[in-house]
Amino acid sequence: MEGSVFSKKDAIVRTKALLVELEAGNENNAFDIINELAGMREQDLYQGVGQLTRNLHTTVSEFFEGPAFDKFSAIDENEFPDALERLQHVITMTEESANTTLNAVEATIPLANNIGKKGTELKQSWGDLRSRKLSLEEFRHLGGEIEGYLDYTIDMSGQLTEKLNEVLLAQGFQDLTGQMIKRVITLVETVEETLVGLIAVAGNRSGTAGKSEDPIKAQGPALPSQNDGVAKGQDDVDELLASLGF
Amino acid sequence: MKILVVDDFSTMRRIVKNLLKDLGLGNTDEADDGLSALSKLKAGDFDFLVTDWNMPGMTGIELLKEVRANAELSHLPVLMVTAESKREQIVEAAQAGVNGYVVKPFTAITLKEKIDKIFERMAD
Repeated sequence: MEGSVFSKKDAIVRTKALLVELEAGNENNAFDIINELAGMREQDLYQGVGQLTRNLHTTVSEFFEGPAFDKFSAIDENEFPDALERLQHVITMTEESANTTLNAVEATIPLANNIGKKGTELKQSWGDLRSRKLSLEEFRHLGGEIEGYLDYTIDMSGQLTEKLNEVLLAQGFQDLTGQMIKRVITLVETVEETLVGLIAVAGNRSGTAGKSEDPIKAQGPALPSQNDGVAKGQDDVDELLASLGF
Repeated sequence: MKILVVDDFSTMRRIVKNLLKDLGLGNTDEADDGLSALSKLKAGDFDFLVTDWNMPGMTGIELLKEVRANAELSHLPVLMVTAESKREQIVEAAQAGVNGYVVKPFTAITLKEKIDKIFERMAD
C-alpha cells in the first residue's frame, strides 16, 4: 500500500529481528517486536478510517453548501401541499373546460342540423315554384316560409356564434393549467437534483437493478419521448394488428 | 343496436357517446369501470362494447377477458378505445379477442372506420 505506515520493508526488518531474538531466547525482546508489529497494523487501519472520514466530511459539507442544496432548502414547507393542490386544480379546470365545450357542442349540433333540414324543405318547395307547380295559395305560403327561414337563420347564426364563443373561451384553461404544471415541474426538478446529489454522496451503487414490470400494466398516454415498443398512432396500431392477421 | 360505453372519465364517455350518436348509434348506456360494466352487460341486452383500458377497479383488458370467458357474453364485439399504446398491450388485447383497437387521441373518422369494420366482419 502506497503511503502506508505498515511498509513492507519495515515489516521484513522487524520480522527478521523477531526471529533473531527468539533464536537467542530473548522472549521479552521478541514480545516487544510482536507488539510493535501489531501497533503498526492498527495505526494503518486508523489512518485509513481517518482518511475516509475526512473525505466523507468534505463531500457532505460540499453538498450541503452547494447550489443543489441551496435550492432545496429554499423550498417552502407549503410548496408540496401547494403542488398537490395545483395538480388537483388542473384536473378540475380541464374537466370544467371539457364540460363547457361539450355542452356548447351538444347544444350546437341540433341547431346546425335544423338549419340544414329546413333549408332542404324550402329547396323542395322552391323547385316546385321554378317548375310552376305551385298554386297562388301555395306561392303565398312559400313566401311566408322563406321569410320565416331568413329570420330563423339570422337567429341561429346568433346562437351558433354565442356557442362557438363559449368553446373559444373554454380553451383558456390551457394557459392557466400550463402555468400551474410548470410550477410543479420546477419543484420536482429541484427535489430530483437534490436526491441525485444525496445518492452521489452516499455512493450507493447497490439496488440499481431495474425491477421487472408487468409489460401490459396500464400506464396512461405515452410520453412524446417514449419510442421503444410504443405505437406512434393509429397507423402503427393498425399495422401491428394486421401483422397479427387482424 | 344497444352500446355500452366504458371509461372512467365522464368527458371521454360524453365524447364517445356524441360520436356514436352522430353515426346513428344513439342507444347507449355508460359505466365508469370494468366491474360496473360487467354487471350492466350481464343484466342488459347489449350488442356492442366500447371500453377504455386504464381504469380503477377492473381495467378494460380484464373486462375483455371476463366477457370472453362468459358463455352469455363471449360473442359480444368489443372495441378498445385507449391511450395505452405499447406493442405488448396491443398484442395482449388482440390475443384476448378484441375486435378493434383505437388509440387516443382519435378522430371521428377512425372511430367510424373501426366500428364499420367490426360490423362488416360480423355480417360475413
